[in-house]
Amino acid sequence: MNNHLETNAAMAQARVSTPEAAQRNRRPRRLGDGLWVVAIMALPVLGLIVFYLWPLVRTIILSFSDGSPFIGYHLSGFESWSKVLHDPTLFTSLRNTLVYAVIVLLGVPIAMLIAVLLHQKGLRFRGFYRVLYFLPVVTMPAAVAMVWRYIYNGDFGLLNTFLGWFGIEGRAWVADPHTALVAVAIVGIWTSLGTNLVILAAGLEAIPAEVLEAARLDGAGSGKLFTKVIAPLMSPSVFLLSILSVIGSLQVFDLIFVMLGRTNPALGNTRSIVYFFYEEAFVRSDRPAGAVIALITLIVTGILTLIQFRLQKRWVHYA
Amino acid sequence: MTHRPKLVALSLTALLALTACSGNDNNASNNDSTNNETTSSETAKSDENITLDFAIFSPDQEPTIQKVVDAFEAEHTNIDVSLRVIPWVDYWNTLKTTASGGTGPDVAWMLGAQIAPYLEGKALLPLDDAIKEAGIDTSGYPQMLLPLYQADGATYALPKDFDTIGLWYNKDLFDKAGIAYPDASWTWDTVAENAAKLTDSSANQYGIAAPIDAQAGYYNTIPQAGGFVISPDGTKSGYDDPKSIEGIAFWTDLVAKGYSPSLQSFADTEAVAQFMSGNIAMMYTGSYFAGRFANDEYASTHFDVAPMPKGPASNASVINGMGNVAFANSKHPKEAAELATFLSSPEASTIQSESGAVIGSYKGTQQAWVDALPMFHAQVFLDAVDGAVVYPTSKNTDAWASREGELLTPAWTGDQTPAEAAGKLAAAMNDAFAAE
Repeated sequence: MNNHLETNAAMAQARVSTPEAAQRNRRPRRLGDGLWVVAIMALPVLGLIVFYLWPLVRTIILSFSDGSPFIGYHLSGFESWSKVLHDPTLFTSLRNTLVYAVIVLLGVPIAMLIAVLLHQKGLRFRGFYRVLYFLPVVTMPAAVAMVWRYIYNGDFGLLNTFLGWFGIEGRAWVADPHTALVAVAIVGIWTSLGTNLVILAAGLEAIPAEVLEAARLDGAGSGKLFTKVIAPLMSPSVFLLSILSVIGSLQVFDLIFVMLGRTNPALGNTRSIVYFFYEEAFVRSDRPAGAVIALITLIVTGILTLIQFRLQKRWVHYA
Repeated sequence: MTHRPKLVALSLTALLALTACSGNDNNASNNDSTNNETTSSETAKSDENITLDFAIFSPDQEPTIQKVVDAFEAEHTNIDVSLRVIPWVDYWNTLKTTASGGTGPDVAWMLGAQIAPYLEGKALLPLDDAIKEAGIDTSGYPQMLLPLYQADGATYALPKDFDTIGLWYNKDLFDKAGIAYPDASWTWDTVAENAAKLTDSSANQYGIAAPIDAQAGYYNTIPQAGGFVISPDGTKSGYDDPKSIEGIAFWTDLVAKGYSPSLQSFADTEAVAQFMSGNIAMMYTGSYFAGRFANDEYASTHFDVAPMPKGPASNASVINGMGNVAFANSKHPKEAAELATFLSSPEASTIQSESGAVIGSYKGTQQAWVDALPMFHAQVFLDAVDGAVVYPTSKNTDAWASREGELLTPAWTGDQTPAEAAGKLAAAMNDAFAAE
């Protein structure tokens, strides 16, 4: 998708920067136009091949190989696949990742609510609120994770101190196997809120004022206005968000890595699929096993995205 | 919008060009001065000016290592050593990837637990000739550390330093409880007895820290109980040995009785931080923390260290030491080998001991380290070398060592007995050995 955007941007730039281009567009097509297209497309396509397709091919080859970094790798068969597929850690980490993805998906309705509230007419300090919600997006994930580690600390964390005022006894939130994954996912929701809001705000702005006015004239209250008009018109934005959110969640690593540390009793219940990849490929230096896990992640991502595209027909309305 | 990135890029390029220029200037002037020196003193063996890349992972040791590098450069005026710190979390990956890709440093820090794949891939230079040329007598190093870096009769690194483990304690908490400080007469039982007396859960005070720690923890108590992590012939795991299980139970008992904060508490706040905040009376940890304790206002006045308490078999400490290796694909193999050798030489050992940061590896140079830490009985760590057990390693140490924490966790939380957890770890470890 990024590549698509870049291509558009590159084309737009090319059009602006060469005055002849505008004239040429009016003339009948000639060979020169084709060359232009090739020249303009070459860069992003080359990038796609060098940075995405070729590494993908290499990863597939590596997943069927055996060896070590110094000796080199040679094709050997399905050993790594069988090793990873027989490892119960693969399934617990897949389960953890899916649970995480579902929890973070709850961030979309929360963002929807906040977006509508922020969109209200005559709201004061709108810019301030937007900055507030967007701040976590531009903060380093590692820094975010460190701060939340302190908030969640079982012995002197901010959260437990706060709960203590109400007589509630806290716990070691990220070291307790029962709460660690949810605790991390809440941070995941918080960090993704900003991006979600920007996309939803754009969706809200795009709803024509006449439509809203017509609905009001027809007697729709604010509740009905939201469920019957705003929500359906926003559904393409929400769909985009749910796709992005799931893909992002499947790749969660840094939050868990920084917030949990290595000898955390909750690691088994929190380890994500990418964390498992990291352990195999980089801690235990089993690169072929790492390649297998990366490919499994790719396949799972593909399947989940496909399912979402299938389901969208039932609830997404394109105006 | 479209212009802004261009502007930034332009200014960045300009900046880069500027720094590149200044860098060149520096190099040029350096080279000039070294040239002058070589021509005037005529001590250099070669006229060619070369640069060697040297990678380490400890920012704490950087100033000391820079001093060692300066001493090397003073002797080899035509060699410019560029010292680079790669953070620990990235170090081994970066080193493995760049060294196998041919873009790595010429010389780098190495650990016994990491060296096997490099030896297997013939990526390292043997240092035997350089050691002979430098006239170093290797009997001055802790002998058990030398084999970590030797293979097929060749030496690929000499230990530059070593660390041993001791029983650190908080004098203040002992005074308040009216208990005599730990000494050489202590045994495992004394530890447990006094940990009980020093624990006051109402005041959030604990007798001892018992985290899941290999080097400062069960790698010591396992041999102290007469067990072993790897069988003496190096073929199978020792974790399912009854004596090894005893070495693990030493820790899990302390946790179960409530003398130590829980594993969850250590996951939130690391053991050494809790110890330094003054609510833990005792902690087994290494000479490697002596420098940090000495530089801390609270720790330097409240802490001291005693020898390891005796277990059923011994009071052995685990010993580990870092080496300096030179890479076979270096453009200047002779000089790289010379540098790697010098970095672990008696002279380098002296400079490191004097800094107080680490114990220099060479006999006779270590008193400086003890003298640099007058507030502690640091001699304990030197005395621990006799009878020390070398840090356990195999061909692919991380393949099993990385599983220890997770598989031992149920024993610490009480979900499994030490025997159950150790049995599972032994099975995983034997699988890893089979894959080696």
